[in-house]
Amino acid sequence: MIDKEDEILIEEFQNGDIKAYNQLVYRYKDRLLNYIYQFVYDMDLAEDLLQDTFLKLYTHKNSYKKIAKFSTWIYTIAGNFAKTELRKKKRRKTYSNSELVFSETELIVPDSSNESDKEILNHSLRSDLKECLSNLPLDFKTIIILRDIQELSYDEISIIVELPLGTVKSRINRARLKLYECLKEKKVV
Amino acid sequence: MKKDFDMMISSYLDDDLSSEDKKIFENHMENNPDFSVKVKDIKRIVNTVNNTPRLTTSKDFLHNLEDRISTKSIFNYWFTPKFKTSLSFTVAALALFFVMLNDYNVKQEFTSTEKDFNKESLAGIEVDTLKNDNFLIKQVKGQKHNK
Repeated sequence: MIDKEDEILIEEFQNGDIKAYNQLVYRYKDRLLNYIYQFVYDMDLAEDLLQDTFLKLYTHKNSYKKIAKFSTWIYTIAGNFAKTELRKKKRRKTYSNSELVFSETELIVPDSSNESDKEILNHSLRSDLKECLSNLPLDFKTIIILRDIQELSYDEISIIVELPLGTVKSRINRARLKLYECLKEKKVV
Repeated sequence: MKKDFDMMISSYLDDDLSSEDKKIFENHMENNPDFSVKVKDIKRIVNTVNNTPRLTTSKDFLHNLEDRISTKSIFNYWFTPKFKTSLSFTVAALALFFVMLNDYNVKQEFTSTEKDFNKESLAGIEVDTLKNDNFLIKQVKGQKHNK
């Protein structure tokens, strides 16, 4: 069976077909979870925010207009929830003094006995990269997540972040350079 | 024209440069080993970000979402435009009913008192007129007296 396009599913849902809603949820739940998680670094919180996103899709289904792609619309909703939460978290940081709130599992030192040097290096790069990524200004961080983790096109990113294509491209470049500088400071690259 | 090669790195990695710019960029890499290393490092960073382990939602996710939706649906019913409209119609109808009922009672009361009043009013008018006449007479007398 050929999968229906997102835009057809949302239209069917707008006409009252709950199955279409379920299909959209199933299609986007993991993608959006990974997107939200990169902002909050907390699995439970990311799931809660993902639920908020799908709840909003349910209650505000008619806010979607056909002029935009469904994916850009739902990414915008999820991104807004994630960024609002991130801002709250940053406000709370004043008290907790921990911008990098990693979950316990992430703090466990991996057993590297069976890893090759290259794997260890990659592991180190990944953990430092995470730190550098979380320290990036929000605008840069969003764009890196959308481009390099979610693998969205420049055009889609441009719609989600509401910036001209040229600005998106230069911002991606600057964000990558910032990551490079950060990792260079840590002597990982 | 001098090129800002740093600003071209991403476009190069995303294969978004024109063939002419790509040649110029690759030439620059060949002549600048440090820059070439930098491009390779950034490529490695992009690949690492790209290969970030993917997460999946928990087993309970869909079940929890379903729960939240059904709670929200019940709650939302009270705020749906349909419900709001029917509620305002009911309130308006009730208000109209009470106004009419009140109006009817007042009218009933008014008609019964009006009848009684009509009987008494004639006498009342006569009294007033007489009183007024007296007053006028007094006033006229007073004026004359003043002169």
